[in-house]
Amino acid sequence: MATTTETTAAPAAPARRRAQRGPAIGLKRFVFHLALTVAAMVMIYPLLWMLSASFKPIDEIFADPGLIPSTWVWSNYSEGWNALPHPFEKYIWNSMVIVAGSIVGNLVSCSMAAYAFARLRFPLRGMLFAVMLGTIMLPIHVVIIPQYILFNNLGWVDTFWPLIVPKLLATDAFFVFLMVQFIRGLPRELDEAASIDGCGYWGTYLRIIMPLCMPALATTAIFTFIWTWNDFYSQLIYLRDVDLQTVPLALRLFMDSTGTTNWGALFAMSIVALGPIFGFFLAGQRYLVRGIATTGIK
Amino acid sequence: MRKPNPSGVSRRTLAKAGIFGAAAAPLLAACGNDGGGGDDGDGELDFWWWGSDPRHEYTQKIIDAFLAKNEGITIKPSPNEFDAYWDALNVSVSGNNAPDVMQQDDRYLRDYADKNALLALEDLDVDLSNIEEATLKTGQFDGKTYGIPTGVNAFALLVNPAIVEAAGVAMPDDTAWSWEDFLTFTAAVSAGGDAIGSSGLSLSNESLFNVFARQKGESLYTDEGTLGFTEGTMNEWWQLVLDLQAAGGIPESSQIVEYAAAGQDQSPLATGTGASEFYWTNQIGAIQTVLGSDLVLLRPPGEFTGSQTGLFLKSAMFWSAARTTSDKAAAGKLIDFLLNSDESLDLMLGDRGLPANIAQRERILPQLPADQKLGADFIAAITPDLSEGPAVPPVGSGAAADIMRGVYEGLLFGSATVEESTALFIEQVNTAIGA
Repeated sequence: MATTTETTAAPAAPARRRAQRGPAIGLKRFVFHLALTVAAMVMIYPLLWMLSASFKPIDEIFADPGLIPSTWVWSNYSEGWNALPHPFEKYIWNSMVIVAGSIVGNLVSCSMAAYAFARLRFPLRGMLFAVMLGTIMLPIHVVIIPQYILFNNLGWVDTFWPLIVPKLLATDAFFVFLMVQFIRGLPRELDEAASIDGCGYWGTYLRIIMPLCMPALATTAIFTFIWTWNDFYSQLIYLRDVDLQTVPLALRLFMDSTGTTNWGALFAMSIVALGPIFGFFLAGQRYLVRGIATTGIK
Repeated sequence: MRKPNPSGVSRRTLAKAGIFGAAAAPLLAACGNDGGGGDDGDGELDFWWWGSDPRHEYTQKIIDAFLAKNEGITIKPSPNEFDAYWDALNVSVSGNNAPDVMQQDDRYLRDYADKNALLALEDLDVDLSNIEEATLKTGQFDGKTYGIPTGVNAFALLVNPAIVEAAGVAMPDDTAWSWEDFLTFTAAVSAGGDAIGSSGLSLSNESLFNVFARQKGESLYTDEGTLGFTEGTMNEWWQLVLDLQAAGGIPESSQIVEYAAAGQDQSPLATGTGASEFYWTNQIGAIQTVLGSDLVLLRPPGEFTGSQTGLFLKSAMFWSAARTTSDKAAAGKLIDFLLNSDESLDLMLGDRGLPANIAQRERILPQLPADQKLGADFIAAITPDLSEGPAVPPVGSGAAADIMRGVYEGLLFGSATVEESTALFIEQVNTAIGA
């Protein structure tokens, strides 16, 4: 949030100042931007703190709230990378596999389900839609044990399947809902035109709806990336084998509430873990904003 | 930042899920595999433990050494962090897929034993001859052993000698000092410099109160699983807290609460802004690392001014096996290896408490790093003076820590008097342990 406010506000400033000369307005703008910058700094301080802590020696991390380390400890990164049972790229790779599977699963299955709910007529559509929405409201605690027993009996515990297969079945109701809303906003005349030109349901879905859904699909992809990348709990439950563990689980391995925590290495690897998500967000930010604006979902 | 929990699932809500699941598990298990417990001797072991990265690293090496000696056994190691460990264990035990060999904690050992999740270890071929009877007892209920202690810890007052000296205060004689002396000492240190005499964090620790009660010939719990102290004793304890604060020995109430929330690495002792605090001996290393200088260990006050000494040795953690293990023999071998082999203890040293195996304890003593040596020397020094160990905490006693913290904060902020605090603690703990 903070970064976007800052970056979008900054380039606009000189242009407007040129347009409306006059010292009073200039001063007002200056104060306004100063206040914004200060607010942005406050928001971004924790992140900067983590960045600086990743370069600090451990006895300085909590003793000194400043942002400039007295000595730059680069070894936090090399140490953190190799401190755990596997080198850190292994965890990143495992996370990437799950994220990729989840994104593909959600894009394919949720868009199909959404198309059906938004455009097709079938018995019990209204009730099924309500049931689907109901699953959003079901807390994870209610389903986790039965789900675990199910996957355990399938022999899927300690594999990636429990984290990927459900995504292929459109179980992320939030995204289904998001796309239903988006598709409902598309003019029905396009569908009718397509059917006159000889498109069936599949043709309409693939040639008309999907291309127009790009912003919603991008939003789904980005949110799936962020949520899956950061998801700790279900990965904790299903991935117990150290060979399969992912980035959030690995970060947690640094911590121990009763013993030594290697904070420097932990923060260093947290910065590393932020990298992919930050990059993905930057790349998709344009679509994300459009997706949110057009569907009215925040 | 300290405890990222992106799932937003707290341990308490999980506990509820666990209860729900525990109720559902038998039903579902009935139509799935037939209740587990099949000892098919497949030689595949799931091995779970909690800790931080140094422990994960050396434990992996111990596993490698074990596998090299035991062909035909495979191990799936699963390291974890403490809180996450219990989340995961809760679900997998409810889901009838408990790890074959696991680390256990005395707060939860009895709960899991009561859920019928743990194996009575008498059935396994584990050599217990080098483990002291009193230590072994901490993992036994109803005549069965459900957990074998990995090692022992003791409570000590950790003191930063540099701060005490800078304040111009003499180091107290820990074989003679009383709780009044502790008050004088902390107040003098606070008055003599910028640092606070003691941080007041562990005064809400029920184990420290247990030491205090034991010094008066009482105890926190009785062998029958009820509370074992008089109201007068707890009143004295809360009064001591108020006196300490009035004398300036411990910080303002709001600061104490802030420090408690910030965690061990940001406590005044660890950041060099406090002179003393009570900790378990296995925590010394972590605090010294953050502090960057050496600490001195003192016995708590009142050890020789009461009717008996209050200190006791606590089992750091336990090795347990799941009742549903797929290979009892292999699980037994692994636990025996962890507990008794040179290879294991050479790597483990004092990280899981000063080893419970007496022969191994003596053997590794010279190899211990400086911070573990401090704890080991302390335990050696107090051992001759120890009175009989405390009773095994009753089921539900895991809640006592949170209850005591809540009562302590109420007292600090003046929402309850000394007597009300005592009554509140007794009432809430009695509810928790069903006494």
